[in-house]
Amino acid sequence: MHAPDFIEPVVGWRLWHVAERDGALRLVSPLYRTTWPTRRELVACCRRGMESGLSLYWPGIRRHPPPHPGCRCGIYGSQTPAQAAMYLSGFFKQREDVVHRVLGTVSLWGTVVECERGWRASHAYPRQIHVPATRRRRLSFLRGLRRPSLPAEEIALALTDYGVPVELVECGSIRELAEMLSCPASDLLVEPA
Amino acid sequence: MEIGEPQRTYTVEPLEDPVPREVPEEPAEEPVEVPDEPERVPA
Repeated sequence: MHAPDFIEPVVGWRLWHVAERDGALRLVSPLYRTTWPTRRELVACCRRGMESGLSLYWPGIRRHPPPHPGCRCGIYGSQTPAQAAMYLSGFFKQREDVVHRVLGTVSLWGTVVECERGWRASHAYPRQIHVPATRRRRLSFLRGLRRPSLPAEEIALALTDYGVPVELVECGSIRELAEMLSCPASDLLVEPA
Repeated sequence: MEIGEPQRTYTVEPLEDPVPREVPEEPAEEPVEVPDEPERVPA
């Protein structure tokens, strides 16, 4: 038994997709399509070895508990909302089941690998969710904010299932939202749910 | 998400649970039985 290095979670920024899962709206990781459970932490698993192509990228790393410094596994959080919003690039195309995209802060704990511009952790849970409500609907797709297929208010209400503060923010794009939220995540005052 | 190269690894064990867990519903309180007053018997 050993003492932990820190007794408060690391707070980072994330971009989530919002998609319908089993009749409810849930946060979903953009890349691996992991559904974030409500009222229960998300625990990382390393997909190395589970997907045949990945071992070519990280040869020589044996199966390990995530996150491993030499791998890319773990649950990600970035230092700034702008870095999280960059995840919106065209590389991640809009999927049919995605009704909206939201930005937020995430608590990270367990084993944490600190990186140059963020963290990878073994355990995570959303800390605060910012739901963009577009005010320039016609041009929103040009500005990185596709029109949600449900009213933003309805999406925000559904996400209160996570039991953390959910804020509806009127903005013209996800990147504009990121600029509005552009302060270190640890400085944000988060009211209890 | 591109977060750069690893710098260090540490362990974090939050004192307070970061997850707002579902509070289990408390069982409905059973009615408290009031003990009968002892019968007064004439001395």
